[in-house]
Amino acid sequence: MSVAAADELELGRSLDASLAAILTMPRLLEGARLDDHLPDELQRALLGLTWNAIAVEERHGGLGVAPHVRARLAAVAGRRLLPASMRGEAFVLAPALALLASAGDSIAEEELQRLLAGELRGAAAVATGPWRRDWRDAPARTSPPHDPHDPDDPDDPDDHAGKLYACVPPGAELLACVGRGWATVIDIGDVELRRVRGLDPGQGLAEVALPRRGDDASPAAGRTGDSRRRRQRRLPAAAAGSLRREWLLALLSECCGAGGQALELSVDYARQREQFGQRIASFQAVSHTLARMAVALEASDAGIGRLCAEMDESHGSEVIELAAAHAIPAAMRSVCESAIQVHGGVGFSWELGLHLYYRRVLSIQYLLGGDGATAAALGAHTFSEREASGHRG
Amino acid sequence: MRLDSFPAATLRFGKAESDLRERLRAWIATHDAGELAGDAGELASEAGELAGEAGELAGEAGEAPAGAAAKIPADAAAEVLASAGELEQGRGGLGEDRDERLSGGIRWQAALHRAGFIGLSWPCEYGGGGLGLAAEAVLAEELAASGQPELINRIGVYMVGPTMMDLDSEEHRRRFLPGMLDASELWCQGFSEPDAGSDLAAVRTSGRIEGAELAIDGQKVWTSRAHVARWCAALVRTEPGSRRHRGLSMAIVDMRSPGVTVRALPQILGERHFNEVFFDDVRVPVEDVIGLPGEGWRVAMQMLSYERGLFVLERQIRLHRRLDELVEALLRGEDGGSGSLPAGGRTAVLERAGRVRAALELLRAQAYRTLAAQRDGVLRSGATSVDKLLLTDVYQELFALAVDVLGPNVAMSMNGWTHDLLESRAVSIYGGSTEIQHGIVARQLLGLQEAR
Repeated sequence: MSVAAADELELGRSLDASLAAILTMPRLLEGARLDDHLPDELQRALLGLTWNAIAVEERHGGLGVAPHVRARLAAVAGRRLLPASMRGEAFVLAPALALLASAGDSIAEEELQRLLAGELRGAAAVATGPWRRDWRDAPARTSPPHDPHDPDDPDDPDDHAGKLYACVPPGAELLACVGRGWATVIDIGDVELRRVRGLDPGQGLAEVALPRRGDDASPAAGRTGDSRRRRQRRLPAAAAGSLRREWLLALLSECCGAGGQALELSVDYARQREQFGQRIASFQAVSHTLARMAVALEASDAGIGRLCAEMDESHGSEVIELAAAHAIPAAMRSVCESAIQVHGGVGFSWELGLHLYYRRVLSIQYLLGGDGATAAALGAHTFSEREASGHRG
Repeated sequence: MRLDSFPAATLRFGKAESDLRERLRAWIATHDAGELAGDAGELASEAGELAGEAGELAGEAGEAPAGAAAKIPADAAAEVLASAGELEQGRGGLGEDRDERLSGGIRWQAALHRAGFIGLSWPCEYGGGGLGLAAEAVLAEELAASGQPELINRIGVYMVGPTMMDLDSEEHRRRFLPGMLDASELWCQGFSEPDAGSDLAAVRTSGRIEGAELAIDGQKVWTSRAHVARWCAALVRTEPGSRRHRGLSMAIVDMRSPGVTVRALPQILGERHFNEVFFDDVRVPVEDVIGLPGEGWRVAMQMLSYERGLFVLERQIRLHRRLDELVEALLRGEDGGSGSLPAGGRTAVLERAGRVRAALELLRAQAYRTLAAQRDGVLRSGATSVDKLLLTDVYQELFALAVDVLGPNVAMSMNGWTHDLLESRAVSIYGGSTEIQHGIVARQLLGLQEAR
């Protein structure tokens, strides 16, 4: 093993150990109960872990690690239930600022450095929903939000999915926003945020309303007192694709981390819990359930591996992304549901906290559009693909 | 969760593999397994030659490739074949029967061998290509994607051969490996018995050591290709009174030997994929054992560990083709008038097709991951059960979906789709049933020793 590879492993292990020490179950449950952020001292401890450097290249002060390392660290975040807002900061906002900085935006470079140092907070709203439904006129369940920069991008009258969600940490200043074919970084004061009590509580979930087109022209400098600041900074169109892929990798890896932890807890429990005078793991009804959970996790793990390889080699494959976005959350959801079942009554209790993994996985599944919509999107893609190939044979 | 190894390493294809892929595509485009089958007369003589002293096998000539009108009823077995042939009319697709068909399959593999495509991952000194498993994956992918049959001597090339290279003597390698590659000597695998199915360690077939010979008595069952194989790798009990995993040996039985009887075991479709094999005082030289006497269990496990990776990848691609065919049938409106897919598309159909597609993509990912682990020598014990379980689910779901969305007019008749629906029930049984696989995953991947 090369030194670099050993370092990569150490990165995952040490992040896991640090998070385990900070994010104890009682603390997580308290945050969930109040639907409130973790206390400031815990937030500061988390910000001290240089988490935000994960998806940034070395020349901008980031870790410059390959997709599979980013995936592993995101899985650690899922396993330890890292606040969801930190996913947006590390995997979308930080690389978005790095892209702006590379294009010569010096304010973005400053902001990036503050973000890496834990001095600036921000959030991300990514429209990942499966709106690509190009097989005939199949009705889309969701449609992409309008591009705030493009006067020709029409508003969808049934645009309930123009709704974007972000998990906004306390004191957030910036919002990175990614739609279909566009991406922008906006001053958070210029978007309308409506707090929502989250299914995954304590994450600062908010509905985001983007500024209307043309609002751009209205003066913002007065309010911020910073005449250099442009309120919206558009990224090149290609950036939208790469940020969306990064977000997908983070979400799905996190999902695996959460599901993996639910499985681990279940295996430990089945080993020590006795009923009818024997450990419940010795009952096939239980051990086979655990085996099915393991299979779901293994397959998802393999799926992430393939996603990473595609990102390395060909900058992504739409089919694999659609497939992973459907199958991995579905698999991890069933793992969490089985975990609750294997634990029996205690699995349903608040204080064991299994529900936090379940909530995290569910919220990821629906951030991606949900079970049926993601399946239908891949189905539509499959039909379109066949139609385009002219019904071979 | 095994944090250090997440996410799983996957198989990657480099320049060597893409060159190979190009060469294969060009070669396949100018060759076709169906045409290689030749005419009926040739088929018959070839089959007769192979069948050798096992006289009742002559009827095997009837197992012609699709399109060839070779049906030579010779005995009861041929009747089974003929009726299977009727069932198959109008069936295009997975090719699971086609690849069982003797002569075309042999010629196909021999032609591939002459072109240098067989044994790609074998060392050059044994006639292989000296390449990696990624190259074998390319071969499996290209054969499956072009609808050509898999290797008729798959058991030899992918299971027995590599096991011999791992565990057997140089003399055996020199003697047996060449015939595996050019398909001049097909292999079958004599593991299961009537009372040793899921519980393989209950094997009872005996191999008494009598001087320089093993005297083999017993019965094997579900033996694919026993009717055409020259050699059988048979798991036999060579230490009388031994129990379970101890005292077993992997005998190399010449299927032409006196005392070997092969009987067709028609399956759910009436087709003859499988056989029963009876050994009645069959004599095998004592040295014709793979590995060492008494090490049969280890040899068997080694062979089985080779069974998955490529096989699953190959199946994945064939299933993907079937999904494409289903989608095409729906796009053409061939859903028997049930209107599954009107102009706007039906969300339910798109959703179900999407679920199957997603499962196929994850299966592909899993197959690549297994191959990468095999290549790197880090395959965890029990890991390939995951491949098998994923394959099973998507296999059964795909044909259930197909018959369901194509509607009663397709579902009521015997055709390719209903054929595959029935056949899909085998997948959760063969190579270790779903229950056995779950037990393996629980014990070996999760470390639950208490799980059975």
